[in-house]
Order: sequence, then structure tokens, then C-alpha cells
Amino acid sequence: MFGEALGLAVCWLLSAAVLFLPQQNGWERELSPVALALLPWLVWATLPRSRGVTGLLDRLAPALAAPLAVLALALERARGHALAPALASAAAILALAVLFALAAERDARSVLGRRVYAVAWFALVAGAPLAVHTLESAGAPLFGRASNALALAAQLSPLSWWLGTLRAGAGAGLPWIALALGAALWLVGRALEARP
Amino acid sequence: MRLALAGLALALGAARAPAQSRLAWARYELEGPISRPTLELVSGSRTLLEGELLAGEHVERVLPVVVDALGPHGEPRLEWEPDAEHSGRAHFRGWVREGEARWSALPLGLRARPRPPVFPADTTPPLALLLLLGGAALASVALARRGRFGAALPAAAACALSWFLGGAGAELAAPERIVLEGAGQASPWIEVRAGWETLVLAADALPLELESEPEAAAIALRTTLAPGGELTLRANGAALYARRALEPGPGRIREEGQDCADFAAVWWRAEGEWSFRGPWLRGAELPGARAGEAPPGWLESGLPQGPRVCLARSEGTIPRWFRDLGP
Repeated sequence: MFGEALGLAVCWLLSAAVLFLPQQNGWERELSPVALALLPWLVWATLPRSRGVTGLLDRLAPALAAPLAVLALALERARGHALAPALASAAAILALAVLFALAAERDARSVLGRRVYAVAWFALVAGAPLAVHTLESAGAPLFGRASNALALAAQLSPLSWWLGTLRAGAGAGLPWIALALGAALWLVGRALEARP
Repeated sequence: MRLALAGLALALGAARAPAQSRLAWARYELEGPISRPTLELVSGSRTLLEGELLAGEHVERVLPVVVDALGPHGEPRLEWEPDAEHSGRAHFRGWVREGEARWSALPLGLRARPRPPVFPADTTPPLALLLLLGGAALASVALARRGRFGAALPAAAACALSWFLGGAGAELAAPERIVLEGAGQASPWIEVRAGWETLVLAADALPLELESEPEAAAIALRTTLAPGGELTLRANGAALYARRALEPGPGRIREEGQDCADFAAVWWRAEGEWSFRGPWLRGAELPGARAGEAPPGWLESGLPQGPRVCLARSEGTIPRWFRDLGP
């Protein structure tokens, strides 16, 4: 419980930090405050859950995230960015966070489900996009683009979709593929829970 | 000798060298159908022309093009979504240099005045808001155990605070600065419009010179294909300066009276001494010196020693600043 509460506090601090750091006139002016502020919450919501964790933190997280999300929207408006793409991004991140949190909670109800979700999280949610971007940013000059299979696996991650919303005013569309992954993980959790 | 050379170098460095204007004009012969064409000479800086020409329409247009430090050279790329029969045509007929000639004919002293500073609005939220949000978060944690929706009340209050206080500083920043530069004459004057990232210029106030800071900033320009449309300039992370000649100018400023505008505040420099003169109505004599604020630093800096200087601010939501150097 203490570890999870600490994680939530770190999440709040990271989210607030990107909004309250003094604004410079460089590249960061191009970035969307909504995407930056909601990233820690998206990562927190997708994390694998351990068995028996109280639902209190899950109920508390929206109350902690909402004011920072509203502040990020206010900053989008103040910086002259289009509000519609920012609102769409916020709504999509909310949908992803809710779906993945439900899937994590459902998978945590069985031992096998917990293992499946943990493997899926490390391989698909965090691992694949990280591997693709590491390979392409550091290795692309020598080895070219990442393999098609790895790039395809990275597309499943909500973090890959999030990267498309990072530039202010950029509409990344709806994260259908990531939502499908979340729904699949939830269905897996339900099936494993029903096993005798 | 070394000191004299250093002084000369400093003086040469302080005087702003006239930069190449970022805006040029290209003459095109267009034959429809053409819809929403774009014009590009420098990579990243593009002109979008709203509107369309119907099939069979044949017009000649002088179109604005964003250029770089090399100025107008070569042929800009004009592109549009082709129709099914690919029957639209565009022929480049050369660069129009009348504006450059008019600009060069203006006195160098007027053209080389320091630019007004413009900055991005500071949208960093106040630190007090961080403390308030932290307090609301702690209150949410404390109330979360008391009921299913216990955490919602502090969160709702924090949302309202965030919306109203977040980015409030942006409204304090001047969206645009307008400075009118005079040289003790009724004409010519130069109008300088300076804006951060965005400038909107009316069709009857098109600039003879456009500068950006940084100099190589990509500028997106939007106007209409039909003549008479306003120019909307946008450059991310850059200041934009548009200058045009006012002939005739707004008027003449002398101690006996001025016919430029009703000034809300005036600063006068005579024989090297600055004095604040308060409001000065059109047609009235120059008011006497009185106690008041010092002249704005950005307006008085970089002026030559010696001549009489009048700095003034007119009324209005976007005030016009006057900087006139007399004999």
C-alpha cells in the first residue's frame, strides 16, 4: 500500500512539475501541456496491479489528476494552441487510462492473469515503443529503421499513440489499436478469473 | 589609436545594419482552375492563398513570398491540388521590386532605428497556485476515506482555480506594439508593427519590409488569392517586425503644437535633458515639464545624441508610440 501511495505522489509531482517549470522560448513551447501533464497518469494507470491492493488509490487518482488536467487545458488556451485537439487528447488519454486500469485490476484477480498482464506490460506497453525509439534514434544511421514486427508491436502501446499528441495542436486521432490491446487484456483477465 | 579603433567598432556594431526583408512579391499569370495554391521559395516558409480560380479564368497577380537572407532569387514553387484534367496553369513573370526601391529611398536614419522589443506572454502559472493545488490534493487524500465522493469536492474547487488562474499572465502581455518613427518632418514617417509569433496586416497597410528574430525563422503566411486580402503572418517562437512608409505621415511635432494625435503621455529631450510633459492634446502648445515617470527605456535607447527628441504614447487598447527626432 505504501509503495502504491508513493507512486501516486510521484505521479502528481511529475505532472505538476511540467506545468509549473518556468517557460523558456525554445522547443518546449511547441509541446502540448496536456500531453506532458497526463503522461505520468497514463503510465500509472497502465501499471500492473498486485493482489489485494485496495481500490482507494484508484478512486483517489482521478481527484488528483483532474485539477492538473484542467490547468494543462488552461495553459493550452493561454499559449494560443487550438483547444479542440487538446480536449480530444485529454479525453482519449482518460479512456485509455480507465480501460487499462480496469484490465490491470481484472488481471490481478488471478495468479496467471497477473503474470499475463505483467508480461504484456513489459513487452508491449513499455518495451516495444522504447525499443523502437531507442533503435531508431541511436541506431538508425547505421542499421536503418526497426523491424516491421517490432514497429507493429510498438503500435499497440498507448505510449506510441501518446507520442503523436506531444506536439501542440497535433491531432493524433483516436487510439483504436491501444484501446483494442486494453480490451484484450481485460478479456484475458475475465477468462482467467472464470477458470476453476 | 587602439582605443579609437575599438570605439569605431563599437559604434558600427551598435548601428543596426539593414537586414534583407523576409517578404518579397512575385508576379504570376494564373489560369484556372486553381484552388487554394501554396507558394514556397524557402523551405518551411510557405504562403497559403485562400480562394480559387474557376476554369477559364485568367488573371495576373502579385503574390507575397517569404524569402531568406538571400532575398528574392530563382523561382518560387507554386502548387495546388490539380483538377482531374490538370488544366490549371501558373507562369512566373518575375519579382516585383518596387517596394524595395521605395524602402531604400527612405532616410537611412529612419530605417535603422532600434526595433521595439516583443516577448512571448509568460504563461507560467503562479507559485501560489501550486501550493493551492497541493493543499487540495492533500484534502482529497484526507476526505477519500470518508465516502465514495469525499475526494471530489476539493478536486472540483482545484479545477475551478486551475481554469481561472492558469495562464492568466498571458492576458497582461501586449499582443502587438506599434511605433511611428518621425524625423521632425510631416513626411515621411515609418510605421513599425511588432508582434510575437503573429502579425495581421490589413490590405491597405502592407509592409515594405518584414524582419524576424531569429532572422531565419520559418514564417507561414496566409492571404487571399483575390487582391485586397489581409496578410496573416505566423512564426513559431519568433518576433515579427513589419515596417511601412507613411506618406503623408500622421503630422508634425513642434513646440508650438502638434497635429499627430491626442497624446496620453509625452517625454521631451532638449539640450540633452529629458523631461516628462504629461498629456498633450492635438493643436495645443507643448505642456511644461512636470514630475512624472521616466521615458520607456526601449523607446529612448539607441537614439543619437544631440537632436531634440519627442517620445509619446497615444490612447487606445493597443497604444501607438511616437518617436520623433527634430533638428
